[in-house]
Amino acid sequence: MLLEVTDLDVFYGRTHALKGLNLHVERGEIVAVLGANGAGKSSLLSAILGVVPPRSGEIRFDGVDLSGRTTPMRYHGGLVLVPEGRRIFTSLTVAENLLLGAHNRTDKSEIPTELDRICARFSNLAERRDMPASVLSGGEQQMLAIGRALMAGPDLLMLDEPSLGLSPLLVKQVFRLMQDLNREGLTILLVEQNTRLALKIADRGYVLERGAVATQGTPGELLSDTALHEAYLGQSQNAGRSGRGPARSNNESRIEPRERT
Amino acid sequence: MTSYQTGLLVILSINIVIAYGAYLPIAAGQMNLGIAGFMALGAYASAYVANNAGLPPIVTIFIGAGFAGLLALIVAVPILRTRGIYLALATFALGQIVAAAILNVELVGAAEGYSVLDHFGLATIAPITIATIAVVAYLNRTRFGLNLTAISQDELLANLFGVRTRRLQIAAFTLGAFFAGLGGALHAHYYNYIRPQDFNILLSIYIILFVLLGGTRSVLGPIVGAAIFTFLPEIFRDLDKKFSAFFDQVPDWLGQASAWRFAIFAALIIVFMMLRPQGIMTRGATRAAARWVAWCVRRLGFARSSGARP
Repeated sequence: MLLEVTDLDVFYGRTHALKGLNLHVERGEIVAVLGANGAGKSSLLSAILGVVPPRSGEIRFDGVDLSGRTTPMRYHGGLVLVPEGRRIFTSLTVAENLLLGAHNRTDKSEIPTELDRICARFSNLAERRDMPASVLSGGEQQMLAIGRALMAGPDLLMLDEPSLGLSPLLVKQVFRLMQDLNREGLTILLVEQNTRLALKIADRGYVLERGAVATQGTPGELLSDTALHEAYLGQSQNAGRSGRGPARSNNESRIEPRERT
Repeated sequence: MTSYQTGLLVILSINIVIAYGAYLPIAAGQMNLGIAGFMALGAYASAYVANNAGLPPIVTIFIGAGFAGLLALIVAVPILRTRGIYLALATFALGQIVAAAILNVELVGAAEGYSVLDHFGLATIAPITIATIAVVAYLNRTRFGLNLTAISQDELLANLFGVRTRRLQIAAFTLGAFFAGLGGALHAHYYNYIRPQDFNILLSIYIILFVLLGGTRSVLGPIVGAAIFTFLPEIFRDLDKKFSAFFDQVPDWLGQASAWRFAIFAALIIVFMMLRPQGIMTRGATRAAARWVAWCVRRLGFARSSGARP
């Protein structure tokens, strides 16, 4: 088991953000964490990364208890985040942003090779390598945020709402990319509000509600769960219909669901 | 060079060193309003050692700078727990404590001031300034510089990518205090007489302005800022003579026209901060300047080689 979260309790002042949460991620999986705003998705990531100290409970990564480890130590251990809203360093160049991601590499000779690999994957970034990151479009910034995280050679890649603020076409690209990375062996923990899309690429999913796991299971199980349907999928379906309905369903259908054996 | 011009260059050299004292913490996202306090520490420590220990003067100024840096390192741990405006106030208080303490220490003359026996001229001070610029330029090119920029923009995210933000902020604060102390020591050895009130809050604010006006993202920023603050008031000094036709029109009740140069200067700062809040030297401007210098060098080289041809 790569990541194991047991009975996790997190408080922000008096607010009980996570209430005895249990979750695990196996090596090579894509695990989706779903739920409405304020369900505790971001608190979970914060606790895993050591930004918020848990009141009680345990987080194990690769068998090692993470309590007492600082955020930089967890990054050096292979836990890397693609933050919500990208949060790239706009005053640095594209290449410098990527370089910052590779902070953990002790063997500096690996960095140029890795930089070339990332640039080969994201041709848009390669063209703008020496430009300030502020000139990038939203989609390119998201690619840069992912590229920056990949520079670290993560063991577990965590993405916080990667579809937020992107056009349907770009969302499709980002999710395709996650699929590709996963096929190459990367383990992914995906926090998403776009439930349907997340379940298309995930192996398993957790639905959070008021700081605890409401349901969990394979995408098939979750999609057939009528309660979930009403609570979340119903919502997102309606949102899809009233908003950019046709475009979205069109794009989603082009992402192939995971083959399951 | 007249002694007036030499004097101005010395002041510029000292101002540049001190400006780096403010630049390093600002590059790490910290506003240090106690720069004058660290200058005072460097000035008094170097002066005391120079007057009493019989060491070479050049050694004493680095002892002074080291003393300022050491004290900064000690106070950095508690003081850097504060953020933003609170950090500014804490460092301001620190500067006041230093000045008030010196005011009471009879060993270094207390309120009467303190004489420094050794004297430094431009020939000693300018190389130290150039060395300081070289050190900061080198730091800016390393990971250290990159990490400082990352911290100043998004501290949490820098932390998420393995940057030990606290350690780096302490390093930037300490190194800044070292340069402030170095500048203070040079000040002491140039003027040969120091008083606690020379190192007041107004000086700290001016030094912060050097950096903000010059640019916080480039090594050239503090140089440009210090140059503007050193030369512009001097240029304005002649202005009322040059434009006497205009300044003679100033009604008497406004007082002397030349006294208004600081008001004009301050107004210009406000206008400038509105028009270019990022400072004069941005990273782009620095690159453009580097290209321009390279172009000039190439042209000079070309002219020389073609001229040498028979």
